[in-house]
Amino acid sequence: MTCEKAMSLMSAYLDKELGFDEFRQVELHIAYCEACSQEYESLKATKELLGTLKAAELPRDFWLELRERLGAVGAAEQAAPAHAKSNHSSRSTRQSLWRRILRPAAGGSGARGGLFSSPAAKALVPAFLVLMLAALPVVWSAHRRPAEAQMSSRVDSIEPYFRDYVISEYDRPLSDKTSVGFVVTGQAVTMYTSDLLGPSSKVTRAGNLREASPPQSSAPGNEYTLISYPR
Amino acid sequence: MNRRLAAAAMVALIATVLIGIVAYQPAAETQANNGPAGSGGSTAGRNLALALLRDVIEKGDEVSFRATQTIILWYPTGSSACITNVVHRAPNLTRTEYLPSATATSGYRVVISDGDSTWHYEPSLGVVFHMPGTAPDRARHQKPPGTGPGAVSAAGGSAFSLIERNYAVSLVSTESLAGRRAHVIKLKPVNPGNPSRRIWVDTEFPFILRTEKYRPNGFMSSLSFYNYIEFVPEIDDDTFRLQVPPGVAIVTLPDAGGLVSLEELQKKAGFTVPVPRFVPTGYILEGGTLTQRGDVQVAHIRFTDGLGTISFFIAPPLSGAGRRPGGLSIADQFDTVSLGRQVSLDGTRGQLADYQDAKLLRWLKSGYEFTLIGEVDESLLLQMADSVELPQSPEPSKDPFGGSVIRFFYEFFWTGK
Repeated sequence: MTCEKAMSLMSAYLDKELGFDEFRQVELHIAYCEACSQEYESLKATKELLGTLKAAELPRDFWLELRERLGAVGAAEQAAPAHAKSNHSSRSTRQSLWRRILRPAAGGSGARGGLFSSPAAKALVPAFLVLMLAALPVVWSAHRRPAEAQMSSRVDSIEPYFRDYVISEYDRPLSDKTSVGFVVTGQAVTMYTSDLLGPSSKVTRAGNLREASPPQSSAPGNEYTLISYPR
Repeated sequence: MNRRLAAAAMVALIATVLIGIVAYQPAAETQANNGPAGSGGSTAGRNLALALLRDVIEKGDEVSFRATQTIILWYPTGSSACITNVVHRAPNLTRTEYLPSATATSGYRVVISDGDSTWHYEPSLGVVFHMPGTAPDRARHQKPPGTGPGAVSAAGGSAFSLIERNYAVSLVSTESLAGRRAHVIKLKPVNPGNPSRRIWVDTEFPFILRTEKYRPNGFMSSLSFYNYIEFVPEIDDDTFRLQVPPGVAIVTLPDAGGLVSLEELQKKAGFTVPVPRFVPTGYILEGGTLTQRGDVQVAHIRFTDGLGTISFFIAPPLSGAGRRPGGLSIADQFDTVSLGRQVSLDGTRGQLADYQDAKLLRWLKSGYEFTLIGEVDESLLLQMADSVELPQSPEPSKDPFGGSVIRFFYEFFWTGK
């Protein structure tokens, strides 16, 4: 998570309005990023300060006065000149295609020059409506599909990919292994704290370690790498 | 008068001598810095630099040492740094302690490697990560990529020969560092769009004392150097024992396994693995692996030019309702970490982002999810993405109407507002 993203989610994080995953990521970022941590503390303090302020008392006649003013505005709109109405009708000409087609037919007058003013055209309208209703599920499905595709792309995070990429740096002969290790171990921590390790990671406890991991390597000259407790 | 002339001549002589001394001083220094006479950009200098590189590649792990090392990484979005204590016993045991600092993104961390696996203890979490297959295996570097298990040998050559072919190697100077003398070697990519680096190789041991990496645009991306180093033949066993408190969780991360050939990868994957027709000049196909993401196997194809890597990940078309079964539940970090920017690809759109010191490109096409990661210039990644060959028979449409009819109704209802 970038600082910019964390900042944008900070307020929602404070108000506990984020989903679990975003909440965890912001939490993780704040834990590691000093600048964002300071911003978080500052925002938190501001919110707490605002929370201590007492709500201002409204004057006793506030609501009565507000109602009267609103009434006055409504009356003025009723008495508006005709040109305002003509503006409204010009807006209606920019309505959607199907409204423009259907309005004259539904009104039945045809006198205002609608596309369906002739009797034959009027007869086509019910058939057309039926066809459109039948197609509605298909259209809906097409409308939904991009969203589903987008959702599926969200399932896999980039973290595991990046980790695999960095690990390949171990195979580069001139790469600095300590630097690579710094990034790889950092990735492991990020993935662990973000629940990104997935079900394929095996978790045991140190007490059972001798059974859980083979401490002896079979490679010649490789004496051991041993996690031992107790020794 | 004669006395005055003699005095003037004396002053001129002294001045000349002084000027000569001053002028000579930098020349002498330059001579010292350049190491062997005339080695700078000459063939002899290049040959010496290549010989040093070969020694480092082949014998680097044969040097046992205790050291303190500083690491600084610069990202487009920030930086990270830490100081480490490193102990290495030849040929394969390494203990690294990452010390906490104001700029490090983590606390104290201990990592022990046996050349095959890595054991990483994170005290702040109370967790030990066991990472099989994540330790440096020097033996692999000495083999030509084509001789590994199933690795492709089309363009062939060992890591050294790839470096020799793809980088202009030169000896820049000789400098002092951490109390030692070191040859400074510059590796400039022959092909544009690739990172470059400078390394400081100890004059006595085949050992890199300092590394500077530069992005294709010339900006430094990482720096690591030893503040202190002691080459010691004997290091006791206890150094490589990791002691942890009771109850610490041991998390074993999945091992991707060794690289296999593309043909073998296709067989193992169970789905057609599309590959790019275009690969940046100098890169060869190194091989591929399958990694598990939830219940789905993702193919990972690696390309290398000897120093750098380009990773190409292929997630297969989705099944069922459009979600990867048993996939990871977290929301896409591509969205939340760094969305980057949208880019146009061949018939689709992708997202291009900076991620740490690499460029990352992700896109969806014909149900596949593709991810390209590399430190090369983004134009090269885009060319690779555009050249990915998809299988000939994509899934047939299940819609009873053609796309144009659907589009008509869709636009009729939704875009006519």
